[in-house]
Amino acid sequence: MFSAIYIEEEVANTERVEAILANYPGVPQIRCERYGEVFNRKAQNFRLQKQAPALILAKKYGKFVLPAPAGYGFEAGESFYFSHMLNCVYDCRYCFLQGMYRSANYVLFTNYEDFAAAIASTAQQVSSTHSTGSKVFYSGYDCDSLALEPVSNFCRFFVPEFSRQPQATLEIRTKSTQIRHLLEMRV
Amino acid sequence: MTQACKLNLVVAHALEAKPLIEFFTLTQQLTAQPFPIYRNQRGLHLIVAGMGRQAAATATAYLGQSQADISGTVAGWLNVGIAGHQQLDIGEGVLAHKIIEKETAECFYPTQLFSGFTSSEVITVDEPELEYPENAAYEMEASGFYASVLRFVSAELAQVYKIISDNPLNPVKNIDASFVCESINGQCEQIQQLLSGLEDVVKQYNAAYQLPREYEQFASQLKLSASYRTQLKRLCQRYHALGRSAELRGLTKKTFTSARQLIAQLKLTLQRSESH
Repeated sequence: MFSAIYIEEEVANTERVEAILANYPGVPQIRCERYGEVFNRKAQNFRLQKQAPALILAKKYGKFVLPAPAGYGFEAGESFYFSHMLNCVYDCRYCFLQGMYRSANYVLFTNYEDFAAAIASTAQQVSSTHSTGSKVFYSGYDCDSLALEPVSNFCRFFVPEFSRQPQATLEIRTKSTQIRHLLEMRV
Repeated sequence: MTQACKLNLVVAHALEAKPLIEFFTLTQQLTAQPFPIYRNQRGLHLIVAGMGRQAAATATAYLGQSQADISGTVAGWLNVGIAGHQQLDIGEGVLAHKIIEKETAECFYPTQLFSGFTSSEVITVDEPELEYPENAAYEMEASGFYASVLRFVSAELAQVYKIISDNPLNPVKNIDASFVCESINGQCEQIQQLLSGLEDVVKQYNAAYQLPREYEQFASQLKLSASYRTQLKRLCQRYHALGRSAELRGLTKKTFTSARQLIAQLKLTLQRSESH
């Protein structure tokens, strides 16, 4: 499925990354210092890479949760988005993601716990200043939230996290049918 | 007539070049050149750079510059040579998935587009490596080649392929001239397979990005400022991208008295059809 897997040194020996790598023993596994070395380099072609995209496993630093722009949120309450992944497996002609980044490779930020902490902190902060409405956090701005669920286990981690945040709502946007993990969850 | 797709082989030494010249039926270009260059009728070029990363960089830049043309077509590039490896057997071939320049610690990542090849880290050193401390291929040209070639093409169109000539059990001092030729000879089929894959990718790229022929036709008729040249290029590419090359060809039959008139007409035709 992936032409190669690039792994940031920072996350190389983490349990989540090792579990992902174990599923792809025949794929070249290439270490790098920071994902930007591969993802942001100048001389690369999005269209050619799209034919054989690689997976880049990385750590996100800061800006885990961002406010939704005015007019793009929900009437119910404050809206936020978070991107655990960059780029999408699909190639929808109309989508701004096709060519937004220099690279067509998928970046998966594997430090989910840091995202969860930021989401909890944001939900708590907003709760203290706004008394009404659920805070909506949506995933899927920079990727399809579920398309790579078998690799990322995004729902498996984040749905239980949100179940512990009654004042926060998780919205997932996808074109895929990767809902198996959702169906397996207890309500 | 379709132009033959250009593919460039960069090797360090005449001994590495010899089996490739024979296998691909290359003949030497006899015009005075700072580097020996060979080519065949199918658009394959081979340049003998000399040893070391600086020589590889210079030769790559020279060949790349000599092939630059206004149409925007690009070539595929492949650096081939021998290397030592900590673990791999003599005669094995490896495709570089990461190139590290030992002197500067700079790294390059050739895009992995081709399956069926063993891949390896490649470390470019300034002296032959005798200890093989890392599980990687040690050689002397790849980083120079790659840094230079990225000025001409993207990482998908440049690859590095090394044939293992020495390892801890078979040290570099055992290498002689005939061994180098035999090592490369033993991998000619794989190199051909790699070049074939590169050719497909290059053709795709050129089909998508090559400047339409109509651009040159327009440009030759009128005096164009730098700004108008850029606008004309973008408009021609837009017609091409929208599958409206026939309309663009039709416009080349008209007479324009100025660049401004030409640009305006191109934009108008595009807008008129888009609004229908």
